[in-house]
Amino acid sequence: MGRNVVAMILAGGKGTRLHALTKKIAKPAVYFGGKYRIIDFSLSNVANSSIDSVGVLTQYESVVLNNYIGNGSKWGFDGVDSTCVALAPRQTEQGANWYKGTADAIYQNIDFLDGEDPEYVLILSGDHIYKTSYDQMIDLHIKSKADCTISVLEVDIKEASRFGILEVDSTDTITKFVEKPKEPKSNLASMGVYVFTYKTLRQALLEDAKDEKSEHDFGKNIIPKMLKEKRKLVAYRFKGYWRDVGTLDSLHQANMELLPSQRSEETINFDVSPKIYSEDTNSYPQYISPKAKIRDCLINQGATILGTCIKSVISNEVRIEEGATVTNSVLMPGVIIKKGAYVENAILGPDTVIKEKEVINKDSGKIVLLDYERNLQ
Amino acid sequence: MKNVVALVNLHTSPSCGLLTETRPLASTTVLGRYAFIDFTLSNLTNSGIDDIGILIKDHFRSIIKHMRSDNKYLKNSKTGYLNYMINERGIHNPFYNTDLNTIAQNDYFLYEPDCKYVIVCPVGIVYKADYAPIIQEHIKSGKNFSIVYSKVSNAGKEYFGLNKITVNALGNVQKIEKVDPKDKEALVGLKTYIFNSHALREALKRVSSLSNVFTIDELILYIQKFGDVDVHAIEYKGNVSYVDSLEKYFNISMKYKDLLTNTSLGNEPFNQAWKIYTTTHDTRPVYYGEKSDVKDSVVANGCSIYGTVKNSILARNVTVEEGAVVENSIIFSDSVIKKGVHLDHVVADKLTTFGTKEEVKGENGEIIYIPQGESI
Repeated sequence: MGRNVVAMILAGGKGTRLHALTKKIAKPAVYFGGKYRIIDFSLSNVANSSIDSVGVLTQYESVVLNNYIGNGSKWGFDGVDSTCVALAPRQTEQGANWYKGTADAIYQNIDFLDGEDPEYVLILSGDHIYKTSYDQMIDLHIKSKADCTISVLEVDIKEASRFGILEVDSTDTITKFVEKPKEPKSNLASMGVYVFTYKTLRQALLEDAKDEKSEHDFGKNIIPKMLKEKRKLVAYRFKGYWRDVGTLDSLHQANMELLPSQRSEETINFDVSPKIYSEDTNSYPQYISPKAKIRDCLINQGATILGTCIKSVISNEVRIEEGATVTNSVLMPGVIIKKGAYVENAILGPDTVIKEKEVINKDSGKIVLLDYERNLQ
Repeated sequence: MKNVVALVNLHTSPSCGLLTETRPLASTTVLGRYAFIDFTLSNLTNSGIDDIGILIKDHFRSIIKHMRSDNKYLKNSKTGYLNYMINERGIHNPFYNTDLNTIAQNDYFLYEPDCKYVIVCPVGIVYKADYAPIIQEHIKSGKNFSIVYSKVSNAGKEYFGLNKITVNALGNVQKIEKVDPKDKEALVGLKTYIFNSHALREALKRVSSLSNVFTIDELILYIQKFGDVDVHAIEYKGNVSYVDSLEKYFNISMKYKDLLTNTSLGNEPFNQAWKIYTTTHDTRPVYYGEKSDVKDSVVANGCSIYGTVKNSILARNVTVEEGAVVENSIIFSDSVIKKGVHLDHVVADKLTTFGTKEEVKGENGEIIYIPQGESI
């Protein structure tokens, strides 16, 4: 018996605008919120939608990410008949190929999908921060007998030209898709989350693979072609918190939105079921010393705070020593702030060490990124 | 260590009064994140022992709830195992529901060809040990039975309730007797025993006809007194904590809090290279509000702190509202301390709620315990 829904998570992107953070790891493996990696959100969403088969398409610097995905047990995909597998490009009889685009990544793993034999395929990105269940979207896809359902976010019309924009009729059936339009006629932005009826998708991928002019991309090729062929494409209106943390500023901002002072009904709520799952780091509980001062922070287990910590997100195994101050910053795992140092408006990559009495980014007003390589200098 | 089976013995766990009324010490929270059984199991994991039986006496539900799955303690869940061993025939008879009878009822593991040695480990006597050299010493001694002991300087005060031993020049046990309240220096038995499995098999057959040997402690005493073989003594060098009362639970928890970061105190059992494994609850990191004031405390994930917390330990998902003060206290998971409440020298069990402006104050030596689920 075939599976009903298989999820395919696109996690091969480099995330160039995150600079040193993605020098050695793929963007979906970047740390977020003191405890998580970005891909935890997509994988938890899939798990919380009762989908028990998931392929994660990895490519750029895939070792850390493949290792992190493991057998999927962190998100509960190690149950009976569950599958969670990292699908990196591979050598075949036809030779070795990188994934040439989002559609090509799925095409190259069509044997995995055939093996799973799903009715529907959920395709999503592994580098977005949001908490959802895909149940309603899949229900809409089935009830409306669509070939493809695209999750859309209503954005400010002034911002619309930054996105792939969908135009719809009165029943939310998609009539047009334009990638980054100069003069947008709609504010419905594609989130890069698709539900396809697998038979239709399979045929579209096979045809696209033969098209030498194609960029093998869902937004640029597959969706426009399906519209041209008068296939039924439907928009699913997503309501809630959603962030693309593609730049240092947006990564910093999304972290800051987790702080107690900035939480609201519109921001992500970890306390309401379902949960976001992640790796358990086997860290000791966090310790706050007699001289520590903490205001408006999010701090993970394993952290040791001996100094001052204001409006910051602190990961496991971070140590802020006596007399040191960290403000408005994001500290990834293993960061050490030595005695008397000062850090402001910074993202500190894993294992970065700030030396004694060193002052980082005071009063600049801009977000800076430091990473472990500075330790070597 | 492929030829060793470990038995985690919950039959010898001490009672801590009301604290262990609804659960064994094994599943009682420590430092807000662990349960006592985690220390024992992590010793085994870190020693490379992957074949484990848990000798359960009572409160089965609480143990299962804490353990959830065995994957977090075993290096390989196919080649290793973690089995619950209960005495089905004797579970309702306190005289028959003993550790030795529980082993006898579950003796299948003793007949496995890989099982050459059996180590019995306690819960509630907390120490950090790599068992590999200890088992090697047992093998080297050529003896069938060994007991692990620790040389302590304050036996009567800290270890009353345990046995002390005398060791002869050959390194074997000469005498076993109860620790006296007046004892100072003593060699205290850690209820940790190593057996050659064939010898344990034979002993189980032999003692089944005896009317005065029901427990492992009694078996060792019997062998040492009347047996024709020696019991070898192996010294454990390191810190040992014995938790057998609410007061000791409180004091040891506070000591552990300080040990977490203060390496000058000697940080056992907390050493960054020595992991302590436990169950994850997938709780988020801790929220510290804009007016929070937290000092000298250990806080588990899932907590939300908007008030004042000093010299305290907060377990998972505890909320301390603005204006509330928690000091010198241990608060178990999912408890709520509302506005204006002041707690001092309190151990509050899980799911307790302290209403507005309530003041609960104990003092050193007189810790106030609030039972699970109470609303004050």
